[in-house]
Amino acid sequence: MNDAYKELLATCKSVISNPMAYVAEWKSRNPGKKAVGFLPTYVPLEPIYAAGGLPVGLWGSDIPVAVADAYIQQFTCSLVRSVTEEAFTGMYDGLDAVLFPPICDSLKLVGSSWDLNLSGKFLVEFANLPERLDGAAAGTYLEAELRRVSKRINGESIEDRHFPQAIALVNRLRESMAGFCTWRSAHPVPFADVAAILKAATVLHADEYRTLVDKVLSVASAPAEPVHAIPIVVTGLSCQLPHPEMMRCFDEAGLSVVADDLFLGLRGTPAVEENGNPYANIAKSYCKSAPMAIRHTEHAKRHEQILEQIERNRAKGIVFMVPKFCEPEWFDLRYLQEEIRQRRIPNIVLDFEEGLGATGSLQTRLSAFAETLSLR
Amino acid sequence: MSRMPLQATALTQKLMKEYYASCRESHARGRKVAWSTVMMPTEILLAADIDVLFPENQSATCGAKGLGPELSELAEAAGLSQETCSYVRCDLGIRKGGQSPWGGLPDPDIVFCATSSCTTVTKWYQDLRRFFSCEFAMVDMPFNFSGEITEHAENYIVEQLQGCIRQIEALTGKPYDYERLEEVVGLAQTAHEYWRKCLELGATNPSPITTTDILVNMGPIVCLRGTQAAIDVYETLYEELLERVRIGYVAAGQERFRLVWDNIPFWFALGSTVRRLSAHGAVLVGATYLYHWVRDVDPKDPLRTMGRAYSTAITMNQSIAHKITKIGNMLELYQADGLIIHSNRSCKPDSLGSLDLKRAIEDRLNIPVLMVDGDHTDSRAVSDAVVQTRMEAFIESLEQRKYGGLQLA
Repeated sequence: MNDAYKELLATCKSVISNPMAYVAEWKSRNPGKKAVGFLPTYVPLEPIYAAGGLPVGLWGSDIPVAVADAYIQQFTCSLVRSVTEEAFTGMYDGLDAVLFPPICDSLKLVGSSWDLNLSGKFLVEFANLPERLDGAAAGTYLEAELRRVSKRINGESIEDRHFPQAIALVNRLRESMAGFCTWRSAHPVPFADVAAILKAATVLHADEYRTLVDKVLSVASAPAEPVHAIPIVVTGLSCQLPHPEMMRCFDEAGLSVVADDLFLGLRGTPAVEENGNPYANIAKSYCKSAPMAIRHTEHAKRHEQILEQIERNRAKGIVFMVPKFCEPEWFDLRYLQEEIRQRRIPNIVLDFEEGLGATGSLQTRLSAFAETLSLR
Repeated sequence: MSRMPLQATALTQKLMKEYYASCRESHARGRKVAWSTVMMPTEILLAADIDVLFPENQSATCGAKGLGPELSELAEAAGLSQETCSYVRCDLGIRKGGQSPWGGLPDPDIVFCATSSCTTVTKWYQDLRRFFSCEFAMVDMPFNFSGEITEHAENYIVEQLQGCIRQIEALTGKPYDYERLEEVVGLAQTAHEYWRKCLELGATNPSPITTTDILVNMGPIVCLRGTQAAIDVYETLYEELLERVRIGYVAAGQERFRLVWDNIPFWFALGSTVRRLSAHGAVLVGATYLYHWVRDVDPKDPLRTMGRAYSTAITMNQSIAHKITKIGNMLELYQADGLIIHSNRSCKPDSLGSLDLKRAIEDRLNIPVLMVDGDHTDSRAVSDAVVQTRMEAFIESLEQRKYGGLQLA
């Protein structure tokens, strides 16, 4: 693998191993500018960048959950619990604000608990996204909501003229992620590395990320080595960016993940128009985003998206990684499985819970799945 | 004093029985049927002569009849995870051939959901649409973080209600009758007012009515507010309660501890819960759940006032801070000795935040709080022995505190 790729991977791994150290370092380089944490899977990053700030994805880690148990019950997903543990033990004190997208019942109430208990440490604010993406009413509502959120985070000082550059920056961040994903389908790299590189996109400043990825894409690399791994599609993780080492289970089972929905919130929204009313443009992009369990949409269906991924990548099977206690994903699973079974596509359902402790059983089940696929 | 039966309860039972029978009959004659979530402004449907039925009520009844586990198992066999709401599992269990205490509901021509209950309802009703190949309508009601509904959220809800009305026109093939809507909303408001007054009389110390007696009279406010028949029931109930207060009638016989319940009840163990508590003279005098139907709507501006009212029902779709204030006020109104919070794993939106609520009520109001883990219909998820032990320990601590002179640490 070329040196540019090695540099990208090393930087990404380093940043995600301690995101708050990167935040502190960035803030020392950018005095007076705000670092704004955000929860998955989509918040509008443009208002943060428009004020010269740094958006920081909060994904938790595999630290044991103890303090958070005094605030939220255990029937919430591991991401929410882990992030709450970090927040309530002071790990995010270096942030100026945290932006919640209250897209599920857990995020609504957990966000509200942060607001009640942590608002002395940083501003807790909500990008109250519409649950439905169809119809004009959702777009009009979201435009007004984005304006409100931007003012709450940035104050009155942010004018529309600050936006085109920020919009271009976020558009390029999406392009970088998409560019990298196209590149990796021709240059098979471990899924663990893919997870690390995507995760770092939510922490590194978009300009820095772009520079690193561009170098990889611009270097003519040797033709890809023949792939022996079995191509599969993974779905269910649109609100998750698991610990990359957990995702190594796929690599070690001999499975090559050719398409996934990690962090689909941002990856799955189309580019925002740079000129014109920025809030209306961001809302328009959001309303065209890819289908996900937590959105009601008429314009796209989730099973069609998955079938298209399978066909385009000649995948041999699909892995449903369903986060424990994620009601929307468990609902979708039933309908998706019906569609997938009708087409006789091999599939497996795995409970997902963040934490390296679970990798043993994950590994065993994925290896067994790989074996059945190799016999077909 | 001998036990006084409530005429209103007999009226409720008769009304609900007739309503379900007439829905079945008129559906067979071609009248349209809608299924709806309980937080939907169904006044817009009643005004268009569409019969409205509520799968949530059917599931609650399944729970009360102890059918939760067997229906859930049918749903789980059909691929719906045990991690989903047990109301949905009961409904799917019935659709998969399980037994409904009501003999099932007539198939819907259209399904309506409003997200102020939860995000679950959207997934549930999308499934109903697929199952019945029927029309689907939804009203997205954004969560209210600041205690107030924002102007743009209110506009958003109104525009969606207008969209629902266009869907109703397409279904009925008739222009929508807005005058009739005003009339229905006016009737609903009268029912709301009686309902509120009944609940507030329940706060009389000692109480003339128990929460169980009110729960069995919920049918009309949930399903038939907007009709004269619902008003008749609650007017009767109100008059009866006034009379009970006048003569000093105490519903529970003895009332040593006044308790308030938060969250949906354990439907399958309502009787046993009340019996356990009353064995110690503890009475459920109030329930936050009943206040979900205390609303203010105005026939002069029906869509806007319904949008606001349905988006901000007491403990749902609201910030935890707001919930703490509302429930705190309620505990004071009811002169409660304690609060029991049901941490209901089938209802995240009504349960998450309970740990903050418990802390705030204990610290700010110095009222003891018991939090019990449970589920509204799936009794497999509830340990009866644990619930019993915890309730007994709670009552013992109340006993010491109220009659033994000890203070809560």
